[in-house]
Amino acid sequence: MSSRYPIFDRSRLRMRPLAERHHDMSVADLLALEAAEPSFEHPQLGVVAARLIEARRRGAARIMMLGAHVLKVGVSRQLVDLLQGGWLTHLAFNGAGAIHDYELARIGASTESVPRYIRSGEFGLWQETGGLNEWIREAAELDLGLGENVGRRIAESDFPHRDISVFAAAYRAGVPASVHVGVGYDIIHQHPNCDGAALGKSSYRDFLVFTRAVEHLEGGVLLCFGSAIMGPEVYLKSLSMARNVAHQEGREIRHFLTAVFDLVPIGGDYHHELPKTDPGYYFRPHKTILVRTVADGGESLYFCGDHRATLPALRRLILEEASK
Amino acid sequence: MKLADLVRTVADGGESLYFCGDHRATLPALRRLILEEAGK
Repeated sequence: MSSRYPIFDRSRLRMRPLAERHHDMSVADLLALEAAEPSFEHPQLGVVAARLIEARRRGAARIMMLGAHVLKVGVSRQLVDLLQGGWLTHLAFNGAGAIHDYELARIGASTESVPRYIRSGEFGLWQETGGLNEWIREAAELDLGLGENVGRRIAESDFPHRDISVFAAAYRAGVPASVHVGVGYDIIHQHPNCDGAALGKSSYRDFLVFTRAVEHLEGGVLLCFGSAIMGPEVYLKSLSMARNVAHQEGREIRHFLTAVFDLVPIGGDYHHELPKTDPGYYFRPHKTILVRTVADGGESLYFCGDHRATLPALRRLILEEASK
Repeated sequence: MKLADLVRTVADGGESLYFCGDHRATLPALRRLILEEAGK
């Protein structure tokens, strides 16, 4: 049966080389491990560090979910260091996270000017970034997750900045880095070589890998940095699946800590949902991660601040606590 | 929606408007106005 609706013909697109793009950030903007980090003090940040250390001792899950903006503020080195130190058991990104990590590793720069390139219809249409689509097709052919194959390929590449790739570091450490794609959300979906079936197959595998990680969340920690939609939505579905099986087997997944790191101020006691009449009700990290999923025995904490300050501050506290 | 997208995509000649309200109120109000205008 054929569809009644016509589709856009991608063969008409004109792509440009990535070398011609103006970038808004580069590896020069990455925060060095030894650098004086932006100030962030919070009396409960030490609780997160202590729980991560305790969870590692128990062998429980230490999951970090991230929005791509976290990579754009230059904390890749801190993430690589946390992975190398064995502090995380799972990383979860949206599709843009893989793109920024790939571009930083390949050319040492990322983040184009949307206002500049949307005018001319050039936004997102950069040849080399489309190479990710070939790796995604390969991931589907090999029955690998999208994030797994991106990490494997960058780790095995001769990219000049592969040392600061979070995906490559995760792959080398044996830590799953899953990519949770929304079709049409990412610039590589614009490209003529994008294979929607491969995208779906490989990202869906990542969803099941993530859900497997959530099965080990009892006694563990789930962190969400700057992901307003993907993080809470993927975590919510995965937790329900994991609890469904746990209940059948007489196990529980309810004693764990969640922590949200974001830029949005939350008024009042964030351990309670806001009413539906308040626009803040629709900020999913609040109601899903900080309230609903920890309502039966879990704990939650919220940290409002720039990721360039909060993430390095958490890393520093982990290392300080662990060395005591 | 990113509020920045209300700006960037119309920066070269387009126009944009923002309506803050409950969808149960805004969408029916828009429908009513469309029908009223079209019926003139």
